[in-house]
Parts: sequence; C-alpha cells; structure tokens
Amino acid sequence: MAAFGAVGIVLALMGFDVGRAYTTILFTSFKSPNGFVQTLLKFVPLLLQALAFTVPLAAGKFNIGGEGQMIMGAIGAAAVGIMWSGLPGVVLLPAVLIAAVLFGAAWAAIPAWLLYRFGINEILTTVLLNFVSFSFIDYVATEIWRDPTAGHPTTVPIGDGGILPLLMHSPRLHSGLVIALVVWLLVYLYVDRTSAGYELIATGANPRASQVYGINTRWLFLFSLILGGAIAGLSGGIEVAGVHRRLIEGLQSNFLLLGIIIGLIAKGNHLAVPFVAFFIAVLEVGASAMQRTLMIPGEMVFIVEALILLFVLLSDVVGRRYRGR
Amino acid sequence: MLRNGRTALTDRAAATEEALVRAMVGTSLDVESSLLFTPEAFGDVLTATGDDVMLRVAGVTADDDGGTPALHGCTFDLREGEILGIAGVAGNGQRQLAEAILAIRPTTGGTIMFDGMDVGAMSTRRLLAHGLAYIPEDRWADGFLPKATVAQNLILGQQRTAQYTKGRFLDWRAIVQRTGRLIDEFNIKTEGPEANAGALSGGNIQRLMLARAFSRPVRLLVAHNPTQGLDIPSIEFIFTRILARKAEGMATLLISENLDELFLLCNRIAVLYAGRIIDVLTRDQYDKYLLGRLMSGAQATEKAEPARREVRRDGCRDDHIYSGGARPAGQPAALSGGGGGRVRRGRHRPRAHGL
Repeated sequence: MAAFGAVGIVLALMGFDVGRAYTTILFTSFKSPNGFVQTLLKFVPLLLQALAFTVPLAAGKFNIGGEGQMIMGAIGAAAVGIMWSGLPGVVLLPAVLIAAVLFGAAWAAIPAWLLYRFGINEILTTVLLNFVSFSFIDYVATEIWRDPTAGHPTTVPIGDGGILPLLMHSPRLHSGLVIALVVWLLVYLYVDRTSAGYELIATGANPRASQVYGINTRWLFLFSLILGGAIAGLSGGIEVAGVHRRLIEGLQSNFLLLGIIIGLIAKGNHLAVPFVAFFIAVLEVGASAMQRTLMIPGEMVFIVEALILLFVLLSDVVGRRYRGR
Repeated sequence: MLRNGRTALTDRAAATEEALVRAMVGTSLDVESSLLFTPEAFGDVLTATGDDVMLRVAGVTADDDGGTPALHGCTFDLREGEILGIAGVAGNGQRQLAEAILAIRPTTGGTIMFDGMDVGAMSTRRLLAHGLAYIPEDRWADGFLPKATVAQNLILGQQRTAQYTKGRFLDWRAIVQRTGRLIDEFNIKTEGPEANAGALSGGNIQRLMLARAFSRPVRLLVAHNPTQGLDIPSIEFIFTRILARKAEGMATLLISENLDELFLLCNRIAVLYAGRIIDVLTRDQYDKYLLGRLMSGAQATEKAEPARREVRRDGCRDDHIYSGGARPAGQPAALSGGGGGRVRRGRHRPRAHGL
C-alpha cells in the first residue's frame, strides 16, 4: 500500500491522473476475457520462474540464472520441435517438454557442480551463465534454424505435434497453465511436506547443524539448483510450445527479475507464491495497458514492484526492531 | 535470594550452601531423594556395567578444521550399560573425537567400531539410524536451526524415523503431538511446537538439544557438556535420564569439563590431553588433584623432566580452581562453588605457572 502511495505521489507530480492510472493497472486484467487470459499467460512463466528461485532458496542457495535456464530450455524445446517436426503430438509434445526440462537442468548443473566440487559461489556463476545463454540463443535463432522472413532473430516454427493444446480458443489460452500449477503443487508437497523437503529447509536454516545431524548438505545444494534449473527450463519450453510456437530472441522478457521479486515477497513460502505471482502478473498486464491508454511509461510499474519489495523487506527489519531483537 | 520474583531467603546467618541451594530450587526438587545431593542412594546403578563392548576406539587420528592433527591415536573401549567420561581442558581434541565417532569428521587413521560396525565406512545418517545420538558442544552452530520452529528443531536428524513420518511424508499431526510432549517433559520455555525457535534463550536451546537426544531410544549417546547453562532441577532431571539409560544397558560417552559431573556419573574417566588418552581412571581412583594433574599433561611432562616435579606440584596445589578437600555432608556433589569444577583453558598448562 505504501508502495502505491509513494508511486502515486510521483505520478501526480508528473501530471498524470493517478486514479485512472491505478484503476487501469489493477482492473485491466478483470475487465475483459482477453485481459484475464493475458494475465494468465504472464502468470505461467512468472510462477515457474519464482519456483526456480525458491527451491534452491529453501536450501539457502541463490539461483539467479533462471533466465539462462529458461532460454536453454526454450532452445532444447525448439531443437526437438524443429528436428522431429513430423512426429505426432503424442510423441513430440512430451519430447519437447522433456527436452526443455533437461536443457534447463543441464544448464543449472554447471554452477551446481562447480559449487559441489570447488565451492564456487553459485550467485556469480548462475548470473554469468545468463550472458552465455544470450549469445547461444542468438546463434540458434540467426544461424541454425533462422526464419528468413522474420525481421527479428527467430527460428522456423516447431512441428504442429509439439504445440501445447489450448484450453480456450478465443482468446487463446494454452494448457501450460495446468502444467505450471501441477509443478507448483509437486514443489509444495516436496519442500513442505516430505522428509526430504525438511532436509532442504534444515540445510537452508543451518547447513553446519544439518551436517552434524546426518544430512548430506552439499548434495542438497547440487540437487536443489538442478531442480530449480529444470523448472526454469520447463518455463522456456512452455513459452515455445504454448505461446510463440517457435524460438524468439528475447522471449525471456524480464521474468527472471520478477520471479526473484515474487520469491522474495512470498518469503519463500510456497503457499503464497502463486498468489504473489498472480498479483505481479496483474500489475504487468495493467502496466502495458496504462502505457497504451494513458501514455504513462510502463516503467512506473517496475517502480511499484520494486517499492513493494523494498517495503516488504523494510517491514521485516522494522518488525524485528519492534519486537526488541 | 530471589526466586520467581519473590525473596526466598534474606537471613544472612542462615545462608549456608545447602540453605542457599534449597532456597534457589524451592519445591521443584526433592533434595532428600535427589541424585545430586544424595548419590549414595543410587550406588548400585552408578557402579554397574555390562560386559559387551559397545564402542571401540583404536588408535584414532584426525585433523581439526584447519588441517592440523588434533587427535594423535586415541584408544579406549566403552561397554554396554557404562558411562565413560572424557575429561580434559577444552580444546584438547574433545570435539574432534566426538565428531569422529559420529562420522561427521573423517579420521586419518585407526578404527572406530560401534556395535560391531565400522564407523569409517558409514555415514552420519546411517549411524544415527542405527542408534547413536549426539549432543554437540556448540549448540548454536552445530545443533540449532534459528529460523525454524521448535518442532522443526526437535525432529532434526530424526526426520525419517517412523515416529515422525507416514511413508515419505512428514506426519505433522504426530510431530506437533510428540514435540509438544517433549517441550513439557524437558521444560522448554516456549509457546508451543510451532513457535519460532529463534526466540529461545541459551538454556532453553540446551534443553531442546537434550530433548532431541532423549526423544528416542539409542544404544550410544555422545554428550558433550550436556548440562551447560542449565539450572539445578534440570541438571538433576538430565542426570536421572542418563542413569535410566544406563540401567537399561545403553552406553553413554560423557565428554565434560565439569569434574563433579564426571565423578558423580562415570564408571571410568579417560583423560584426554593434546589429542591423546593419557590415562583411564576407575571410580576408586577419582581424585581432583590427580585428575587435574593428568589434564594439565603433568604426567607426560614429568617423565621428560623429572627434576622439576616438586616445583610444579606446588604450583598446582595453589590453584584455586579446584575446590580441594573433602566435601561437607549435604553439599551438592556436582555444584561445588558454581562451576568450581569447570576448568578454563590455559590455567592448568604447566608453562602458565612459570616453569
């Protein structure tokens, strides 16, 4: 709330109609079926990116490589979808999604292994591998499977069998939503309900004590990062198989940063993650509408999101002070 | 003397040590039948042991965290139903020894056999599952999850045992129920199993460590300074629990710097000095002066430098840390002078006395 207030003041100073700006941001998603579907389409990668961040976070590790893993997943999905484009959907669609998961997991396995073997800081390596993946997607989209008719680095479309079935035809809503929600449920059950998930949380709370009490913490670091990478890779595969039906440079948007913001606002609580992800998706869709109708720069929404995060983190500190600790 | 916000004793003339302790503990401890005050009544339990060896440590060497050797060939046996003490000035390898027995720290030589199994070939997880429990010395770093709940802390290391699980899933209803009972039994001051453990005080974290270690039957308990930071009734409670285990034939390795605690509970006391077991005392040899000399490495040095023997003896005798002499009747065995038996590092090293 405080974040909205602060941005409202800035907007007013810039001479915009604050009330209309906020109604646009908050209600675009709910005014038309199209707006709602747009929100859900944003929600899918946001939820998966948030999970790719929160799973390693449970073990106390920071995966900042979600977009690199997403890009690699998308490349894997596109590669399979293009090379075996003739296969029927029963075979091709699972193959496309599995390729996305494996590519994402493999990309995350690099920093995970460097951490396991040499103790190299995973924050640094995951971020740096993002840049490698940017060049990689460029190469794939401009050299290997380039679509000569497109003006932007883009591959040829994947085979029809690799396309996710639609839940709704007009406006188009693909079934990646179901996959994302199933993945979320599995992650929640694993981390918060199983003994193995408890070991992940214990490792995040105090790795040394977890080790003393028989938990293989180094292996969990490795495993949680790879699992996060697999989820991020899947989000890339869903973008390819559901939204674009081909590989497009820039499909990662800024889902990584938003995913991290979601994870942090939810404080790693998996029950809260989908709600926060949906809220951020609403803001995102509202932002582009605001930009179109009121000519307010969409960046203002980033500022709102950043301020929400700041206030959440600040409320933690203030709360701790208040309790006298 | 204050107790629970009320004055319990004001008369200075009446302030004998016994009266002070009674005023301090109030009615929460029955002094007449307590282990701390009248250990004689427990005589048989204290001296009995089983026959079979539970833990055999043979020539074990291990490094500390920095890679310098900390254990130089430790050898001792621990039998069923026995409490073996490890006495030593802090920092002589106690922590490394405990961690080697639990396979937390790799050994560089020698063998450790627990219940017929080679510890060197096992993981900590399997050892815990086979009936080993550990109370670490450094409760903050080695035993506590600050951001987790009290219940999550209490199940650490037992997250896969049948009492807390249904298949691969944690059984939260059972966990809350059982940990709630542990909180009552061990008198942990908290709002309940789901309260944040980060708010617990040091003594309550220690009770949490103990509750965790005693929450399931184990063959061998490795306890490192188990009573640090506890009040008298809690210490009494823990001692009776350790003796109850002993009566059932379970073994305990009690690593402690509190000599009174060791003298009260242990069948034998092994003295650890500079990473070696330099002697093992039996109950009839218990003597603070002798033990202090061994702990300071005096014997090892004596053999090398016999001419300086007399000087050192005087130096040690002057030391005020040991409450030397006979204990007056009724005075608590493990409490002489509030940590009087605790030995701080450096005080007893021969060089510190200007040799």
